[in-house]
Amino acid sequence: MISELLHALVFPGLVSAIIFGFLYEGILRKVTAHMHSRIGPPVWQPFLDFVKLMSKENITTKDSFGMIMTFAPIISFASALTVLLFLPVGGFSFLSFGGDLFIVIYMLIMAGLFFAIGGFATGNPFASVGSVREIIQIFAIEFPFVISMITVGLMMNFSVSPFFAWQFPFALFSFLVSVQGKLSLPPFHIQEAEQEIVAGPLTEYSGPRLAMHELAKGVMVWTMISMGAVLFLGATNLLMFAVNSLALLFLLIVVRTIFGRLRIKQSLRLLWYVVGPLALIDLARVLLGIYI
Amino acid sequence: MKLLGEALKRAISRPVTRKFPKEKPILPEGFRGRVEHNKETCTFCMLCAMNCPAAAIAINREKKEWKVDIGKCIYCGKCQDVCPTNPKSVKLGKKYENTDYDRENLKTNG
Amino acid sequence: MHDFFLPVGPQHPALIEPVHMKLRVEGETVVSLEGLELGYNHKGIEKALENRSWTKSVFLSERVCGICGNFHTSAFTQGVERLMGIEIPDRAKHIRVIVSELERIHSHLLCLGLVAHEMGLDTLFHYIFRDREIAMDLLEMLSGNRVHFSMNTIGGVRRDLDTENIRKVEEGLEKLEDRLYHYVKVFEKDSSVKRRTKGIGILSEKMATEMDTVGPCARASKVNYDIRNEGYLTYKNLKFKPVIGERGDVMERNVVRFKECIQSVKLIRDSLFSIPKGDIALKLPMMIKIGEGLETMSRVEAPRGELAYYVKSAGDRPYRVKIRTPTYANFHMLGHILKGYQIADIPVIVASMDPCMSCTDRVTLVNTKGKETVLGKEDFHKLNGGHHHD
Repeated sequence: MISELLHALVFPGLVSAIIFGFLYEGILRKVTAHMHSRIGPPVWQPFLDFVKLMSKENITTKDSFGMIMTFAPIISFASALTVLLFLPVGGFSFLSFGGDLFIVIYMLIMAGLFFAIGGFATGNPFASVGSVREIIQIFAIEFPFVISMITVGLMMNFSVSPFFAWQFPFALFSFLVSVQGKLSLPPFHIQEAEQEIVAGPLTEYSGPRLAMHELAKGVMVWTMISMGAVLFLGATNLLMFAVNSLALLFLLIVVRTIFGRLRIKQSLRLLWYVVGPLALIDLARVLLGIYI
Repeated sequence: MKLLGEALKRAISRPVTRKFPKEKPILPEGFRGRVEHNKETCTFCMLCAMNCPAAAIAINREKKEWKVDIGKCIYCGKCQDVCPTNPKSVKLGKKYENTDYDRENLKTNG
Repeated sequence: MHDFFLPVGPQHPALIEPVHMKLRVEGETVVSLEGLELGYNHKGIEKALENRSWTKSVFLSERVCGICGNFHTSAFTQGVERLMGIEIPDRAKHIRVIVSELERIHSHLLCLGLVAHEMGLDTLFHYIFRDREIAMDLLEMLSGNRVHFSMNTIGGVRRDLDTENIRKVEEGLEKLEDRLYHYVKVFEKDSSVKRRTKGIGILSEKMATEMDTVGPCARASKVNYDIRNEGYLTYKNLKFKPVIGERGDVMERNVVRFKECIQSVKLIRDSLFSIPKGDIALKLPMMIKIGEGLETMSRVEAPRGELAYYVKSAGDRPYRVKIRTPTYANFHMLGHILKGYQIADIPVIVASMDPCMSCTDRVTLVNTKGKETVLGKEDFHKLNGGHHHD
């Protein structure tokens, strides 16, 4: 019981998710800055941002629904966190049963969906354009993402467990692309394109609500990277987990640095016409049993 | 993909930006900074005050008072150009952090 | 599909300066540009120029713009010198060209960095801005300031350059040239850049001519319109040939800008090589007097295009100064190059036009009752010192 609670609340659950989520985001910003040949903020900057935002006030505009604005980021934070409970990080997981892979997939959709709903609730035109883009993005990313998840899922009876997908390079590739999309990092930062639609769904957010959004985003970084490390790179112990996740993080940073933003249609086209079919090749190989 | 090589190279080399208040920039020779006035050599001929495009310089010949309003100064260096004394009594120095919370503090004797 | 108005500006993250655009949008597609509101930056400079002496006016005219200030003084002093009937020394002409072309490089790099930023490619933005610093540092060394160089004065320039300066400028240009060639490759070949700029915001040659487009925007659409063709200052001796693009889309405009930077590097090099010895300015009386009622039209090629100054004298000060900035001319075609593209393309297209509100918003349009004077093409040629060029 105690050890299960520890898993849920300390590692890989709540506390470590918050700490490592923000730390990863800090590293993301710092290394990106160095690639830009800037100094960049300190790695603990996301913590400082969070604390500062928590101490500020919420502003609810005339056209917005305060309730939804409060709960949407909390739900998306919670769903990103729930995913962690199924992940066997470093060899142990809190919850695990046959077919929990699907719960993971749905929970990740939830996180994005409530990000969009939170945007719609503000009634801001920029936010609604951003939210529509977010919905389209979920729609676009889910195809390659689900296919790649099912590919590895078939190999381990749809329960989340460590698996090294070296014989499925296409599934691995489409998973990595969709991670970039799910974290809305370049080239998929379409819903938060500041040059086009201000901050997208987050335009009207301020104070603790914005802090919750930041938190959800941080935890999402940690969740997605952990998932990649366990499900696709097969981390069975803590050391492997650390190495894998840092490698993934670096890959994310490199990709985000060298690509510009796609247009929403280009993103849809890329994910559906190129990345998705590639993932299908590996799915077909699993179904037909053509692999080593 | 054309940026990949450079991005990786930059990641391990020293950033070009500097932490400003700790690390000051190197100013070139002839930088146009805050106006400096030398009371010993000045003849109070009024040329700088007359030629100042921003009318930032005020001179009182009787009291031998020379005043410049840094808040108005546009750092063009015209006063230095027209100053007839040798060495120049009015010239632009290298001070560039010329802000204050009070406008009155910007009115100085140079 | 339901269409609605999308307000862009006056405060918008994509725009560095305030301008208000009212766009009719259908879904994500721009249907038309319904309204354009300028004037958020009005500074009243034209009026202020009327009660300053000629020498002081030069400093004020530089403050029209923070990016291309030197071009404003070039145009203004050129007009005043024409009114006075004087010719500035050759060395001054060379220095003016050097400073102008360096300023053109940093202005173009600013625009191109912003285009990269609008594409969401911040890496490229940081790289370009870092390399822009080379040009900025050279200008700081030559003039003593990063912006508002105050180099031009009536009758010449205010600062000379020595051999040490020339050596440093040449070193800087070497570094800059390498980087510029690299960027041309990036902007022409990089998939990420190509995807956002190729075939976007197309301005046809016909439209460019009809809308009186100027500067790199016009030249990217095959229009050979560059005031440097007229050979003012030393451009005639430098055998200047403008960079002309073919397709007229955002990508072409970017590439034309880079190629112009490379050309500027060459122009500066040639100028440094051929710079003659001698005075840098004519000795003029402190209070310049010009015959009352004399008027002239003076044009230079600013980074954004043709910059025209109309100057009329009131003896010891200007009677009227009218500034026509390139951005103002380019706004006419903005509606046409936005039409039919996505909301996501608006920032990229607007940035590729390189608007400078600070230049444009000097004047607010006021309805005037009474006599209206229309200046025709012939009048402008007459005012332009008799230079007949098309």
